[in-house]
Amino acid sequence: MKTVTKAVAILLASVWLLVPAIAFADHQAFRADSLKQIEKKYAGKSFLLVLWEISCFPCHEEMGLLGKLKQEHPQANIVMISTDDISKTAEITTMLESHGLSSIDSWLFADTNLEKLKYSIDPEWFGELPRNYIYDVDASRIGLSGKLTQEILDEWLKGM
Amino acid sequence: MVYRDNRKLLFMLMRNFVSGILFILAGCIHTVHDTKMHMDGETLACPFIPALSVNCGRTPTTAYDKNGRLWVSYVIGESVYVAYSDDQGKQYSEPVKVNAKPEKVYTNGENRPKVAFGRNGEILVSWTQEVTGGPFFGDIRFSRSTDGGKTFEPVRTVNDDGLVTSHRFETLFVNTAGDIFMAWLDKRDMVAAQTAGREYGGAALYYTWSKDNGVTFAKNIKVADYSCECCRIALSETQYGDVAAFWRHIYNKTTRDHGFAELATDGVVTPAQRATVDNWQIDACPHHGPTMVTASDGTYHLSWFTLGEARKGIFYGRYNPETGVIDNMHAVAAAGAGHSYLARTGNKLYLVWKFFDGEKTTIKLSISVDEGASWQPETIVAETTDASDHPLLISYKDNVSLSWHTSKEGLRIIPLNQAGSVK
Repeated sequence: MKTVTKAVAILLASVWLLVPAIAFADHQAFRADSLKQIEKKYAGKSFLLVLWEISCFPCHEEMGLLGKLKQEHPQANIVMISTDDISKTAEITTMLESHGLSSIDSWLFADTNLEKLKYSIDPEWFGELPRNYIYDVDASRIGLSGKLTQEILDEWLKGM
Repeated sequence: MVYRDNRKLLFMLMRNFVSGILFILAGCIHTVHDTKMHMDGETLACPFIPALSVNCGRTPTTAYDKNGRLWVSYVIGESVYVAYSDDQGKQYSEPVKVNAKPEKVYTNGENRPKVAFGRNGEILVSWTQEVTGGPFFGDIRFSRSTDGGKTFEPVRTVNDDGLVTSHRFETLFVNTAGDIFMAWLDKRDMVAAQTAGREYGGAALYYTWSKDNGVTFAKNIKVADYSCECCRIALSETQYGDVAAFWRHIYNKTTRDHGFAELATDGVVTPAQRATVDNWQIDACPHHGPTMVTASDGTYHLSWFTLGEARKGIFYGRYNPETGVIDNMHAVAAAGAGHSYLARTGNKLYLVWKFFDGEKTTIKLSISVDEGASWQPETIVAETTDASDHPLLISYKDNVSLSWHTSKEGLRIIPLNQAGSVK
């Protein structure tokens, strides 16, 4: 019986360790070819691509604006890519939930070669966060570094 | 804990099985690049639970002691390790764990455990502990060894406010006299401001010092309010033996340029002043801190990243804090480049940076022998096709080496004296 108890304790401990792995299921793995996939999925539509990270305070502030926007305009297409690694999956999920963004298309960097992933998004981007791309219906895009303002978002919604 | 209900046990086993599969899949994504490493012709393996080797550690950070022995601090799991090498990093000593009690440690290019040396050969180690309670919370941690790195004293917290908030991005520096300086980004004033219902953007730069080889530290002193909150701080010795600090700072709430100050063991000597005026209007985290070394005439060689109105990219300049002027301004690199690092021996100035061309990451080097007035053509000194850390420069006497950790090759120590060919 002692052995069973021990086994159960180990299993319980492993459940605890596995929580982040389970949470990863909420986000799609972003690899070097993932942007093409995203662009294909939203082809012909205007969408907002947001790169963010847990340790980026302005990103959290921007999420406040995005959460509000999503509530008022549920049809707005927002894709968020976290540049964190898999160890932050639970925090990412919580962060999105707390801003009412749990239903959005969420991706998570899934390659330790960050340069490769960043380059696949934009060779001109130096990694500053948040980094936003507003895609037009014709797939042209503009890149904006730093927290989006309400004015920029309003402008985007008008043109949608 | 005994489960008599077999159905419950069965359910748990099922759940673990499913979780286990998910975990293995997730683990594969995470460690796909850590499984095999090639180094000096040998193949090293970092298993899922990595060996204690420096090559499998996170953010290994190096320094030479006064005898030219190479020391390295790095993190595995929730432990900070220290090891040394007497053959330029070919082989390392058995690593010694610094923190007896496991704790979460910030490990990224900008924020990493550091090693330095006291005046009696004490091995000094610092890092930022991840503290629970908030996404940016942390404490500045310090420990030292007085027996040549065999054992380490219990870890101490250096920030003295007792607040559970953000204290991060510590820098550890020992001047020629052997005084220990630590500077970091601190949000204690933001906590106070919020309590009083006031706004507070960014963090503050704080520092402390120890004149007794790390036995005690002075009361924490604030250098400046409103620093940027996610970039490393550069420290360098002033011509008077004090310490100069160069860090990313927020001006007028949204302009992220750089501040400069000179700090001594009895307080701030040169109060914070604006050093770079690029007018980078941005509310963002650049995750891209500056680098600085003191010039032979007491001015400062700086290198930094900006996307300001005035200029965009990686820049070099020589700063005179008395006039507030940067001369010899030089555009080092544009898109694809990052994380420049400076070192100086005699009149030779070394500047390295990282560059990704879409296929591989290279470390480029440029040398100036006239205090930054002109720069020799850049050369590639190292490359990798996989994940890599920021490049660091370490020096001993007149020798400067690149210290670069890459997931494929492990930690490489590359002497730059005969730089030019790819290694």
